[in-house]
Formats: sequence, C-alpha cells, structure tokens
Amino acid sequence: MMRSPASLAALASVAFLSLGFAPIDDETDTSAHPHDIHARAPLNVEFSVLEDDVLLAAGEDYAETLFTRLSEEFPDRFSFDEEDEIWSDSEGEFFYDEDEEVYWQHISKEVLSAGRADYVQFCASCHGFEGNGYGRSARALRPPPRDFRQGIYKFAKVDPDYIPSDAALHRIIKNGLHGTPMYPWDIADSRIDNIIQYVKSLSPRAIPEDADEDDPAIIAAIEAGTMSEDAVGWRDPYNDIADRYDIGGDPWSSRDEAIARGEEIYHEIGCYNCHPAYVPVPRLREILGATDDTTYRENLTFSKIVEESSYTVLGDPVAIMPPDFTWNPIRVGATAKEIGTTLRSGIPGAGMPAWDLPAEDLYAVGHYIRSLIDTYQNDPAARALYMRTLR
Amino acid sequence: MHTTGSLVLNVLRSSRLRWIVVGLLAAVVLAPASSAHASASSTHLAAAPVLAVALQDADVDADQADAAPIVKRYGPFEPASSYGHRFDWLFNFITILISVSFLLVLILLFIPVVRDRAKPNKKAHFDHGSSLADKRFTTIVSVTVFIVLDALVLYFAMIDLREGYWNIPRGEDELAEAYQVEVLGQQWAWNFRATGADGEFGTADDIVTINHLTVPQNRPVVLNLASKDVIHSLYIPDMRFKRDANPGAVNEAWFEPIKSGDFAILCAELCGYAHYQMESTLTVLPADLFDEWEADASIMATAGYDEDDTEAQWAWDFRN
Repeated sequence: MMRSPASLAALASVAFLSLGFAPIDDETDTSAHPHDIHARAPLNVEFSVLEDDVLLAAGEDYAETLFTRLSEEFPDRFSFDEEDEIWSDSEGEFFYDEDEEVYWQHISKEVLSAGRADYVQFCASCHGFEGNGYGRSARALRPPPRDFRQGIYKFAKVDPDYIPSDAALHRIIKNGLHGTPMYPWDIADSRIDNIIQYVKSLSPRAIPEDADEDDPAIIAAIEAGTMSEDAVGWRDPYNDIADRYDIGGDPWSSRDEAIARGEEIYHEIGCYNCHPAYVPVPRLREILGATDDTTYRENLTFSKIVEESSYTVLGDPVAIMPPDFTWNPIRVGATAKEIGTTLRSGIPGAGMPAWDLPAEDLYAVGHYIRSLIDTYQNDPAARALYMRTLR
Repeated sequence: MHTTGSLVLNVLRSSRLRWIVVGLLAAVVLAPASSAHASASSTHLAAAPVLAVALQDADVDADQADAAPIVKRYGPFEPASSYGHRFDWLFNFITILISVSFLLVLILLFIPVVRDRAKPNKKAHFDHGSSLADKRFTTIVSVTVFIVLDALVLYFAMIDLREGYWNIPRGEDELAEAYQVEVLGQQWAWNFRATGADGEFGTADDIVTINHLTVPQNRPVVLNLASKDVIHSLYIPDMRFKRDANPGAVNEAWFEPIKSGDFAILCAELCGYAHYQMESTLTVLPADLFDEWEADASIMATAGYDEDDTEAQWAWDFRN
C-alpha cells in the first residue's frame, strides 16, 4: 500500500489532471441549442492552405480599369497587344482565358495561408471556420453574418449585376458596418488584402461535367459547400467585376434646399413602401399628386418587413427589417455621399433596389436621410414630438 | 525588516506616545466612519483623488465634426444610480483610511530615525522585542489595526452589498414593477432583449437591440446576463455597475437609474481582439417619454418578428 504523503499527493494530482482533461461529451452539453449549427471551434483548426488557387481577376468590362491601374504601378510588367486586344503579364500572375474570354489571377498558397490565419483570428468567431456565417458568436445574431459562399455583398456599393473589386471589399472591412459587431477593423492593409484573397477563394466550384453524381467525394463537397451546381462568385467566368460607384461631388450649394428636395424625392420614388413615410398623409398625397381619397399601407410611419433575403439560417430565409432612419443605426452612411452611393447601388440580397437617379437627386436624398439621423436618432424627445405630428 | 520593526517598537514602548498614537488612529478612523455612514445617502466625501480623465465619445463623422466638441471630465463622475453613492462612499472611506494609516506608519518610522541617530558616546543596540510587555503591545496593535482597517471596511462593504448590489428585485410584485432586460454578450457586441409592452419574454414584441439599451428612469432595471462564447463583463461606470456575463450561466444584477441621459456601456473583461471596441450606449429616458418609446419599439419589434426563425428567439434557452 502506498501510504506516504508524497504518493498520495501524486495520486490526487493525477486524478485532478485527468478530470481537467476529460474529453468533452457533446451529448451531455446542456448549453447547446437543439438545432445548434453554431458549433464550437473544430479541435484541429487548419491555419494553412495547401494549394495555389485561380480566381477571376476581370471580365470584359473591368479588364481595362484593372490593367491600366496595374501597369501604372508596375510599368514594365504589363503590355497590351493591340491586335488581339489582350493584356499580358510577364510574370504570369494574370492570364487570359480564350474560351471564357476573362482574365484569371493566380493566388499563391502563401497568400492564402496568411489570409486563412488572419481569418481564423479575426473573422471566424462570427463568419465561421468554413466561411458559412455559422460562427459561434453568430448564434441568434440578426441579421446574420455574411455567408462568403454566396458571393453577395450588401454594402460593397457596386452595380448589383457585378461582383465587387478588392478595393470595394477592402473598404467594407476597413470602415465596418455600423450597428453590428462588424467593426472597422484596425488591421494592416496588407493583412486585409490577404484576408480578401482568402475570402474570395471560398466561392464554391462547379461540379465537373464528367463527375459521377454518386461519387461520395462530390456529395461531401456539396454538403460542405465547396462545390455547387454552378460556379459562384470569383470562380464563375460569367461574372464580371466592378469598382464602387462614384457619384461625384456634391452639386448642392445649400443644404436646406437639398433636404427639402430630398424629402420630395424620397416620397416620390416610393421609399415609404418599405421604410417609414416621414410626412403626414395629406402632404404625401400632395407630393405624389394623388387624390384625397388615396390610402396607403397600414403603419405608414413604421418600416415594413422584407421576407425575402439572401440570409439563410437552417435553410430558411431570414426576414430583415428596413431601417427607420430616425431609429435604427444605418450600416454605412456617415455622409450624404455615402447614402447617395448606397441608393445608386442598391443593397443586393436585402430587397433594396438600385436607383438609377442623377447625382443631384442622390445627394438630395442623402442629405435628407442624414438630416433625419442627425435630428432625431439620438434625441427620443424630438423624435416623439415629430412622430406625433405624423400619426 | 526586523530592524525597522524593533525601531517602531522601541519608540512605542519607551514613551507615552504609544497610547496617543493608538487613540489617534481609532479616533481619526472611527469618528467619520460612524457618523458619515449613518447618513450615507447624502454624504459625499470630497477627498477622492483625480483618478480618471474621461473623454465623451467624439463623433468622427465628417459632417458632424463641428457639432460634437470633446468634453473633458476630470475625476469620478457623479453616480447616476440609486446605489451609486454607496460605492463612492466606500471608495473614499478606504482611500482616507489607507492614507491616514500610511501617514502614521511614516511618522512612527521617522521618529526613531531622528531620535536614535548616531551620537557621540551612544552605542546602538539590537532588540528583538521578545519581552512579555513587547508581545502584549504587539498583540494590541495588531488587533486594533485589524479591527479598525480590515473588519471595518468589510463591515461597511457587506452593508452596501446586502442593501444595494445584492438587493435584486426577485418577488413577483417587485419584478412586475421593474424593467427586465436579458443581456447576451458575444465577441464583440452586447445583445439586449427587453420584455416590450407586455412585460413578458419570449413574445413577438420583445425589443431586441445590439449595442444600445434604453431603460426608464426611477424604475429598477433587472438584468439577466449570459454569453455566447467567452466571458464578458457589462460595465456601466456612471451607474457604478459591473457584472460578468458567463457562457452557460445566467447572472442576475440590477440598478436603478436616477438620472436621464446617455451613458457609456463597456466590456470590462478582456474578451478577444476587438474587446476595446465593444462599447454600447445606455439611454435613460424619463417615464412618460419612455412609455412612448416602448410603445413604438414594441410595434417595430412585432412587425420584425419572424415566427419561423426559431434561432433568433434566444429568450431563454440559456436558462434550461
């Protein structure tokens, strides 16, 4: 028998340590939600990417913008073939695909690995380790975080028919989305660039044409979201890339005039169908030139929910609420120009259409919404007074 | 160390000063303590040192740059909750207590250094203080110091905790009058869920917000805190409120705002990379304005309620 104090202490510490390192039994974890898709971090997190990747660099429309910019930065590297109208890269990073008539870009595994490591550190807690938006901290978060496998970005502010350029994505990360846990990330630009390349590489590939549908590897890839019927995002040669809209300088010299005009446009183009109306009904009829017996939707001074969105949780679309500008913080709208740009590009995947208006009108609405935010959002007393006049 | 101790003992043993010292210590500490704590609700000791410079958050929006000047506030802010003065009182009390005892120790050290300094024809001697009188005196000083410093602070702290911080409204009537909020911390935001106009959690009109909590003035606010991922800590400096939010447990806490306005909510537990950005706003509204706010918020919450989206209804999986 071991009776000495030393051996007893050793026994006790072994028992204590083995308790501490006992494997976690998932079935006895009572904190888990019955349908919890927001699982804890995998035990072996992959920090590196083992293979190089090839992603869409530019289609027909974006090629000139991209290569003009690149050839200014690296004068000796890029050349333009006048006859074939094709840009070529002496280092072979960018290359032209004659079948699809698009330019592809080689992304090295070093860049992707660096991006993956930073992604795990900064992004995975919400966006998930696989980029599907099901991170642990995303549980019950509404709206849910972006699913990077959809290739849809709400606030990149590019034409909704295009996918955003690296610069547009960089701006989202750098400036953040106000009112959500997506903060303005204070990370070095080079690291953000790496993260962007990694995030782009999360776009699903198309199932190869000669693939067997019952191949377990293919089925597993579809379930994991790395493959889909058609290629998505930066793997789809039918896509093209666009920069952020630039709506130019502010044409209004008087802010008050812009706000007055903005109020008219806001109600003329029908923003009140989803967002609240900010004028009394008689004034609304006057702006729209409607007859006195025209009626409008119920709860006109409240937002109306949009049932269809690109957000899905457990396979169901998540309904989202358009912001009431006197109440909700808006994601990207520090200035009238930002708001005008959002209006021009629309918000893909959220039901907000792109409004093809002249810059003057965009700025007018921008000034108007900014004035609503500045006057009422942080002043509940003023808001209550104003809303009483509308109801 | 033993030389310093014997020097102190020497001076105390060899003069009538010792009883004066003990008496002073007791008088200085006990007198303000007993009188001030009796009327604690109106007492503010004004001796708190300048500890903090708080910058009210400056809005960086370009077109608001002129409208939002940076206001510097020096020293601790006035408490904005009903029990805030208790914590201020205790803080000041401990600060004064420690300052006085520290000063006393310095004086007692200084006296023998001056009195017994090297002189012609005087040889230094060494003394452990091992006689019965020494031991008795050491015991008396130790017990006095413990009672005056430690036990007293503990006593007043317990009163404050029992009557203030731990006095959470739990009864049905008390809860009906209180404003109930469920707080869910995450990396890196605070999710708040209030009951809405019907006073019950888990219904369509629950007011769910991120990083912004609106509460009524002069009504107890009862908070149930939990966390999705790691440990966070809800910290409202103006309310003298701080409580951890732990994953897998629900912590209860309360405060009653007595001032209206906007206050900062911070995270006081290092919770990851963007911990420093995890700041929220607490808005306290007067009763009539709050009722109007709550009615509007409930209508919006009901309109935004998605019955099929069961995952978004996080009240109160966490309790089971």
